[in-house]
Amino acid sequence: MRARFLLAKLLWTVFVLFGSSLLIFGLMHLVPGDPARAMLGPLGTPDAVAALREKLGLNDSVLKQYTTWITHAVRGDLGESILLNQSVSSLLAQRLPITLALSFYALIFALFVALPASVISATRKNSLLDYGARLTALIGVAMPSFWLGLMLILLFAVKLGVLPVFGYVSLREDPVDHLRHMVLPAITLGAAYSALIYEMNRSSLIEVLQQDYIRTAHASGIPSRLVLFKYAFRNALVPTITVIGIQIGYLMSGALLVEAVFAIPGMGRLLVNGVLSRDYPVVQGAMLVTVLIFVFANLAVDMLYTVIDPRIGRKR
Amino acid sequence: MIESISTEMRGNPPMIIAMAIITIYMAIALFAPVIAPNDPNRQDLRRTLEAPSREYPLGTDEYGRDLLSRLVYATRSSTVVAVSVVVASAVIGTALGIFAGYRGGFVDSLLMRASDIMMAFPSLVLALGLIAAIGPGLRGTIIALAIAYTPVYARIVRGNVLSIKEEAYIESAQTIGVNSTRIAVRHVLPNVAGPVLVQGALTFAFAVLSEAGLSFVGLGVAPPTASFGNIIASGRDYISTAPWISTSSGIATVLIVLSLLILADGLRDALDPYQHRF
Repeated sequence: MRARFLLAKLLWTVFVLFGSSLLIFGLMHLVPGDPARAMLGPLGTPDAVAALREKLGLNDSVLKQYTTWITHAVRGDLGESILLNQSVSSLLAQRLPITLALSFYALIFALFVALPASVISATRKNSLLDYGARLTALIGVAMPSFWLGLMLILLFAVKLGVLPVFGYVSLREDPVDHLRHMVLPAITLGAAYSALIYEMNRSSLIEVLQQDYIRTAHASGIPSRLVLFKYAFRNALVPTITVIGIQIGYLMSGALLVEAVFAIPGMGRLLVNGVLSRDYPVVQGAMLVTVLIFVFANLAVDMLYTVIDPRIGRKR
Repeated sequence: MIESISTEMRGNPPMIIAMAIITIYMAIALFAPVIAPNDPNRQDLRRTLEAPSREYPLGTDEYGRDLLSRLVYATRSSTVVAVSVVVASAVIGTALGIFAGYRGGFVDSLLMRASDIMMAFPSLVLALGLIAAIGPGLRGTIIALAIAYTPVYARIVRGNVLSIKEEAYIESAQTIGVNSTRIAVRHVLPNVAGPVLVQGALTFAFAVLSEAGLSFVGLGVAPPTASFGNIIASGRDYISTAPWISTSSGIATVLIVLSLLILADGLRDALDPYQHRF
């Protein structure tokens, strides 16, 4: 049964990826007028436009263009960046690890804050501490990430002078400096994410703590700590993991803005600059990678369910 | 519906405060030319980056423009974008949702699969892709965000329609020969209004945040027109010397978004008690 559940999820993933590739491809054909003209701007001579049309294959039929694009993409060839004179896949290979590292640190920060906070809130429901935490979480969601980033820069870098403000240092170059550069961006990106995880885990933990089996466990004299962590926490985690998975998309779009604040040369900046300069192959490539990550993260979450809650996938 | 909202508000003081803040925002947006003490675009290069003072309560920016006036006009940009996005996505999404849910069959699966694909993109990334196609600016931002948020409405409404469809009063309307457009408008629409309203408040909040984000990276509202995002962006370069530029604009954004989230939460408790929070 479990294999069937996973197979269905896998087929679903393939379908969504195919559909997204159509959408991403279609976007370039939505451009009013000639995309080659739009990319070259007012400086494009008719000859240059014609040459670019030929290079991009815009003279072929739409179906042929799509099949050419997607077969190349599957092989890892996403075309050439118009502006940066470099292949899109090599650009992505440079930039993606930076965004992934940033997202990873943000995730760690978010879990580190959200899980303990939600346990405290759920076990002391409606206390002053709980209200404070919930209000903080609400503000966390309401705050534009890029603004939070600037305020952190103001506090930690400008006023206290303890952390670097801009730029990126790779892990291989200098691990300590790498982490120092990542602290503020990771907090910035992780704040709202943390608030969402907190809110979900709090309400799901409160629900679980009201169940009969928890009362029974308490009644049979099992220490409260053990009841909380062994029985309640694990069951409460299932909806929380859903939120973590779904909101990985949030990390990817949040990175667009956070990288702009801290001048981090990640994939988000690449995508934004691609849109600003109408570098369509870059935009398509970056969007495709984003969807890939998002879809596979969700697939991973589905698989994780069956580990955490073995009942899932066996029902029916 | 109005009754249950007012009952909820009586026991929910934060929701009353949130409503008041939202009303004030709307009024500022509507009457910006009357409220703003100065022309938001008037430059005074002798008085750049001035700290808040009696004359300029929020200080001036790098061109010596009055930040308070710019903030007033930014409220207007933000509201124009958010209201347009909410209205467009809610109307189109609700229509598609009712159509899909009520018709069922092939049209339904086609629309739902299309929405699945759109929802595979984080909404800001989808909006960026659409802006790449449509072009940046106020108009591009509105169209892109409206398209990005439409599938959510379609899904919520469709789900509700599927359960409403089985109700006895719909069946009896069908039996006595009421045509389906009339059933959709008279009987189905009022029943999905609650969840749509809740989603509307949430979309409003996210649209304000997204507009600010897009304007921050230079793809949304273009300078010199003021927007929360582009004011924060221009303050970024002066964060150590003139932190007031970014600070006030960010606080304004947090206030409105926070109020909208509290409103959405209250509306959900009043109208849609089975939904999970957030």
